Amino acid sequence: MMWQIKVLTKLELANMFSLNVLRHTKDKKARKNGIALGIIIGLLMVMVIAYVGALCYGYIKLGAGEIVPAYIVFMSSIFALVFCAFKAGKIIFKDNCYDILTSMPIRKTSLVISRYIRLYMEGLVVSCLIMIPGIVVYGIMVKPGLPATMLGIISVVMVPIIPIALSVLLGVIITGISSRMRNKALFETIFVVIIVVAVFSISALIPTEDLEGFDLQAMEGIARKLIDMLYKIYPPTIWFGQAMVEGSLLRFAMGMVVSIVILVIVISITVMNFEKINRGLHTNTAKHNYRLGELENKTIMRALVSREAKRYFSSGTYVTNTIIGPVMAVIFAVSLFFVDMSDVIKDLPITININAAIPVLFAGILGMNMPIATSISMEGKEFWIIRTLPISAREYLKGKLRFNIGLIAPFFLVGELIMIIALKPSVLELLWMIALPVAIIMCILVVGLAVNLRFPKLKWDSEVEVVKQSASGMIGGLGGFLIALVAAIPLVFVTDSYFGMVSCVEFLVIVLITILLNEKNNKFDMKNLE
Amino acid sequence: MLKITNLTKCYKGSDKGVHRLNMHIEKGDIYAFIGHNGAGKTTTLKCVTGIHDFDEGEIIIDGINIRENPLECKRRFAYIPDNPDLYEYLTGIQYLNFIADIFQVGAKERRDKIEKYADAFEITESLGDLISTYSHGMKQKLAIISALVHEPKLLILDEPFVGLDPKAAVILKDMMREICANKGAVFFSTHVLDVAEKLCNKVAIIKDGRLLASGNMADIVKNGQSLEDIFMEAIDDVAD
Repeated sequence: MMWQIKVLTKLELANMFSLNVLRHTKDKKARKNGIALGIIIGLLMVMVIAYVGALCYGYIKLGAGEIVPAYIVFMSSIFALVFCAFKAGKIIFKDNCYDILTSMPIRKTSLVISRYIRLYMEGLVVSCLIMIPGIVVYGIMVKPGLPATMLGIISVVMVPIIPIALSVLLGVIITGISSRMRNKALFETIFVVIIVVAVFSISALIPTEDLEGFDLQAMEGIARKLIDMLYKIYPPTIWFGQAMVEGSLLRFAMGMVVSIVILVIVISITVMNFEKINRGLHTNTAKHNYRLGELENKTIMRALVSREAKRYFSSGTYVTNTIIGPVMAVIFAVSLFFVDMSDVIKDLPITININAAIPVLFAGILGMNMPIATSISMEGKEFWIIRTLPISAREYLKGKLRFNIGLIAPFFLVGELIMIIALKPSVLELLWMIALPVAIIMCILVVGLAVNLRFPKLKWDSEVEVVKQSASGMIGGLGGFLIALVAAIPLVFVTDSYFGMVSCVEFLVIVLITILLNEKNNKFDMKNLE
Repeated sequence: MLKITNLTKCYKGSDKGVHRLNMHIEKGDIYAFIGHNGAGKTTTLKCVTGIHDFDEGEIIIDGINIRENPLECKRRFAYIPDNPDLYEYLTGIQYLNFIADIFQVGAKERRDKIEKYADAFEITESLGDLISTYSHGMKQKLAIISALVHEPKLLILDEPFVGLDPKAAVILKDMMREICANKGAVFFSTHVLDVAEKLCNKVAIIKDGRLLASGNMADIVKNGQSLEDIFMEAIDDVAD
């Protein structure tokens, strides 16, 4: 079995992040996209390393160095879980080559383990990015000794095991239930939305009263309370974290044993259900009872929008990864009833008008990971149909814009209504509270299209490659929020008397950029999309 | 109906492509395009259908230049690729309705056409099912129906007989003849030389992106030889 795992793992890892394709392709555009993606990932990595390093430095300087190991283990686990949770099912039960692999004398266990290793490697990258800068800063400043540092370094390898196993378990549950359903995408979407809302609700319920009365002089006490809190939420945080503080082999062994036991249990559950779930996924139900009745004709635009909607709602991966932004935006609006934003920023050394930026930030959250940024890539191998149909780029892109506007409109309206009730704006504020987010969202949509036109990925095996790992997916995911952030900065620094003028200028600039970019998109030659 | 003049399309970093290709397909023609794998058949078809741009030459469809007015050209032809990747998230009838909407085919007209062709191919009862449940042959049949639903003047097909059952192949051939009888034209690539010889009135042989022979089938296939003999001779001559 070991050689099977070795061969299959090699196969899995060969094309992780499409590296093998990039290595061998002669297609300049594919290389250009790969380089763009590499630069984005590189920048993100540098940002994460700098952020973690600075944060750990800050904790140690404030006298709360004890929290650093537990903190980096906790953050590493959470990020690995979030990074892999919504794609684990797709990786474990991916359907390309299913027929070929199952017709060969390969054990299910080998297949499952090789795919787990692929996910684990992604978790390990996350773990290295978060933990290594923390360990380096902690090692240099606190000097915990060689045994503790060694245990910390080994922990980097151990920490992703549980979060990835939990991701796989979640993937097995979601895929297992949805494989029995006719509308798999709808079930996956509802499940993920429930999980997101549940996570936010649970985090809101975590008692924080012990931490109130934040006093920089009492950081050591607060660090102790934080460690206790993290232990209650996720005990391995403390087993691995304290092993780094105390050099405690016992705590480390505890973490390692629990990790391996959880891994074995999850692998066993996955292997036991692997064939059944795959059978459900690969068995198509066809009724063969259609009777041709009266047919209705639509306008070209209605036909394009309707097709766009059917494409979107047919894919659980697509929906679950792109609906989070709008759901979070509504949660953000609701949170305004419970959190006074001016309280949050009262300790800042500068005075800012955070309330002025709330509608703009709402638009930014709403525009995170918009489906439009990957909608051209999602056409995949079926793009020949659009290319040979008598429709212009303008009509085709307009169809995508209209669908996306229709998709986020309900979230926007609900969020706006909640914000209006919560913030009680004046007439002028109300005007900009609606106009600015509308302009920003339109800008995000047009920018998303522009990004996907320039970084298309039409050749893919799994939708995950497009939605989560492509250049346009990443730029589109973050770009929306960055646009809103840039728009928010001038608003928070202006006084009330200049608020209207600054809002007006911002609105006009955003609208102008949107119109010009949209015109440029419409003139794009679709033959250049490869 | 279709005039290709000096068509040249080169792929960057490769010597593959087509070089100074000239072809003329007239109304009423059923034109076979034959050649071995990688000869340049699909490249030519993709240039004609506007999927690929080309480096030199001119492509005129029904008097309209594909470069100058691609949308008008696309209204006049229908294309079926060798591997019909269709929208698997749609049902068969939804896909046909989508294509009919894009070509603005009226409700009654589309219903009549879908009924006629779907019944002929015996897939009417499957039209309510998702395309993802279709076999390769069923997808091929659906692609053919979608191509015929808007009555194209020019039908362009890449390896149309692959995956079709014998009965469907016969129906497709009848449909091709019907298009030509109605002053349309059919241009298709194939490896099935028997079919090409019996069905087509014109043929072109391509090798390494260059046209070896083209013209009336009767002028090319003569002296008791088959198209297969001519094809083998033509490509061997070049190799020598």
